[in-house]
Order: sequence, then C-alpha cells, then structure tokens
Amino acid sequence: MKKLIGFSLAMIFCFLLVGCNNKQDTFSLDKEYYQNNSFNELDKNTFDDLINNEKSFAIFIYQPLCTTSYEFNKILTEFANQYQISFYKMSFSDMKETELKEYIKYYPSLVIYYEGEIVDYLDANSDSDSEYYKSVDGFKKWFSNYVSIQKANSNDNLILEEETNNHTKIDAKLEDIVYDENKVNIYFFWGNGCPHCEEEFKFLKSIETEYGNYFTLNTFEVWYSKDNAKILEQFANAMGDEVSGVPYTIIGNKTFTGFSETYKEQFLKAIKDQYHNSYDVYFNKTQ
Amino acid sequence: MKKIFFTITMAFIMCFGLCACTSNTELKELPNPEITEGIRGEQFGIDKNINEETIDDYLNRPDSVYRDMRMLKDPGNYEAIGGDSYLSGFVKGFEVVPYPLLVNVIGLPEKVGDTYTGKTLYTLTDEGKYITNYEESLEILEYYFPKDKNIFLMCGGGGYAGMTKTMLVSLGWDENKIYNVGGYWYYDGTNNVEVKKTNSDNSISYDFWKVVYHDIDFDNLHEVK
Repeated sequence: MKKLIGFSLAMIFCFLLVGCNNKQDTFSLDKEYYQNNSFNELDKNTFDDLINNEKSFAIFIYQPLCTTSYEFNKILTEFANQYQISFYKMSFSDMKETELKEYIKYYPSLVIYYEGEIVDYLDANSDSDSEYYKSVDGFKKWFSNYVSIQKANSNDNLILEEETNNHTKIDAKLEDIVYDENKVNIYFFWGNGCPHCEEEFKFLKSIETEYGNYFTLNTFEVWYSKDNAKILEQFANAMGDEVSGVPYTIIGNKTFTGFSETYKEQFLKAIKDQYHNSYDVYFNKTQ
Repeated sequence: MKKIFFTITMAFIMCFGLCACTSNTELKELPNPEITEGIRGEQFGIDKNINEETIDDYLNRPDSVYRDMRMLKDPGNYEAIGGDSYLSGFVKGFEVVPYPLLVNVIGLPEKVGDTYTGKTLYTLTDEGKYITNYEESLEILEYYFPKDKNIFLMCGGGGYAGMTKTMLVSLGWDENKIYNVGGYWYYDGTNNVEVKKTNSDNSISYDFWKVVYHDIDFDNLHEVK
C-alpha cells in the first residue's frame, strides 16, 4: 500500500514537472469587446450598468495631465490593434467616484472584470507589475493569464495564433487532415501559455528538416477552443486515455502525456517505427 | 521686595523657558530620497518615503520649499482623450511654478496636440541637454528652487515633478535634496485645497485665487544671443 501511495505521488509529481493542468481561470470577455479596438470613455452610470449586468470587460485607468499615462497608453493601443480587443477607459478622477477607488490607488492601471467582479488590476506602485507596463508582450503576458486573446483573420473568423520562436502555430482543421501511407499524422493537443507545450513545439520544429518527410503535424489548442477540447476528449477516449492536462500527443498507436527531455527519443522512435502505413486514430477509430 | 524679585525672576525664567523651548525645536530629519516601487518609481522617480500618503508629515518646514509643477489650465487638448486640463486642487503650502514655462514639454500624445508652446527658460534638446534661453534663467530657477533648501515637488500624477527633478539635477542641483512627492490626484490627506467648484446651478468654476501662482514675464527677460 505504501508503495502504491509512493508510486502515485511520484506519478503526480512527474506530471507536474512535464505537463500543464487545464487553465481554469481563463475566460473570454463579452463578445462585443472582440474584433474591434475601440477605447470608449466610461462614465459612472454606464460602469454601474456593466457591473449590474455582470459583464466581462476591461478598463484602462488613466489621467491626462502630468504625462504619466502616455507610455502605457501607447502600449495598450498597440495591443488593442494587434489583438482586436476593445477596452473602456476611465479617468482616475472619475474612477474615484466608483467602487474601484478601494482597489486602484495609482494610475495608469488596467482592471479586468469577469461577470461583474474584479479579477485583477495592474499596480503602478508594485515592482512585480512593472514588466506588464513596459511592452505589448509584457502586457499580454499578464492579460492572457485571465483573458482569452484571439486574433481576427481576414475572413473575420477567430483563430488562435501565437507567434513564438519564429514559427507560427495555426491549428489544424479535421476536415483538412489527410491520410498518407508514407507519413504518420501527429496529433498534438496544446494550451496557449503552457511552457511544456512550447518546449514540444520547439522540439518538433527542430526535427522538421531531418524527419519532415516522415510525419505531418496537426495541432489543436484546447484551452481557448471548446471545439478542439472536444476533439481531444474524442481522440483520447479512442486511444483509451483519460487526459487531464496538456501537452497530449498521439503518434500512430503511441500516446504521450506531458513533454520532457526523455520524451524526445521516444517521439523519434515512434515516428521512425510507424511512418509507413501508420495506425491513425482519426481515420481508424473516430470516423 | 523679595516677593517682587521672586515674581520677576519667575516670569523671566518662564519667558526664557518658553523662548528657549521654541528655539530649540528641532526639525525631523528627512530620509534621503529613494524611489518607490513599480513604474511610479522607475519612470517618474516618485519618492518611496515622502509621497502623497506621507507629505502631511513634512509640510510647513522652514528648511524646505514646496512646488506644484502644473499650469492652471494646460492648453493641450486633453478633452480629446478625456479628462480635465484644469488645476482642480493642490496641497496646502505648495506654490505653482508651471513646468511648461521652465522648459519645452516633449512626448505628449498626438491627440493632445501641443501643450504650452510659448517661451521657456530653457530648451530641452533631443539629446537631453538643457539650453539656456535667457540671461536670467538660472537666477529665476535658483529663486524658485533654492539650492540650500529641500525641494518638494508635486504635480497631477508625478510626471512633471519627475521631469523637474531631472532638469534641476542636470543643471547642478543636489539630487539628495529634491523629492518627487508624486501627484495631487493621489492625495487624500488633511491639507487639500480644492480649486474646482460645483455651483448651485451645477456649473463648474475654478477658484484660482486660492493658488499661489508664479508666472514668468518673458518680455522683461534678456534673451541669450
């Protein structure tokens, strides 16, 4: 029994090292705040209505005099343009007439609301928040801890897009996946912001030159996309796995939960062993 | 006779005691300037120890001057980005010496347009150098910001105050005697003097007569050739 407990703890510890749990605290703002980049002035009455109607939104707290809000204003505007997210803005002097005065002591600040409740805000007098004020990436790092960031494509459909390490991750669509008898389909389920997923992306990118002819990578972001989360559940069930975190990867008849240095050899082996006439969970089990 | 002598002596002692007591009052030693946390410290240099929350403990010192760096009304079009461009209040004891009269303000957002663009004592170049525009510039600066005093600076949010400290230090002032106290908008103490007033008909007016305002008459100065 003791051994079983020890084994279980080791497994839990191991997974904590290599995998990421579901990001329960991430949510979407209300729909009207996506796909445009306005900064509408917010008065007290409208603010009260938003709270009473349990809206999810974000407010930029600023004050025009004394130049202190300007740099952050520029960063926020660039962020809004890039990710097509709309914010409200409220001057610090107006804010002092609202419930926010209990929280926000200094401007500039950015406050996130979820269903009428404050989730978090930036503190201009805190070293730990400094990096979030200084660049679009820094702000995004903080904001995306809570809020789903989506980027509009030219067809006005929302797709998740994350640019890192000089590669762009654009998720696969099931209907576009084909079976190739000389290539194994890799199904890689990941979470936007999950560091282990990022490591796996880097690894798969690094083997592309040598092994690119042996596999096709199909990625599915599951923290922000409900559709992709359903695909994950469907595929994992078909493989006999119960998945509680990402990354989760299927290569032929092999599955991998989490990612670490020791997985690299196993990934390569699975690719090399199975690229010809591979087993494919999508075509063999789920269709 | 003894009674009279005793009374006079006692009165003298009491008087001297009182006088001595008053003249022996020592000013609380000021902490050295130290910037606060976050971007308020990094970007604007607001002081960690003497700031909006604590300035009440450091007012009325004979060894210090108190300066608010805002204009009464900033000509920048701040309404374009929301907000109020009037000085709506100040901390008692602070006298207004508008930063935009000392040096050209750079770095405002486009929508605001230009703030005050008239004459200034100095011109700040892109390289960060302060060029003297008038023969009296330094004399005026030393009058408003005496080097032998502690200098407490405020404005709306700490930006103009920070820029003023940067300028003074660059021109030779001792940085250890200058404190960026921060912004009036954050002040919630007991020495608030309100200038903005809501009238009975709900109109807004400003009691600028409450403000000790230091204008600079550039027409009577001599430009550096």
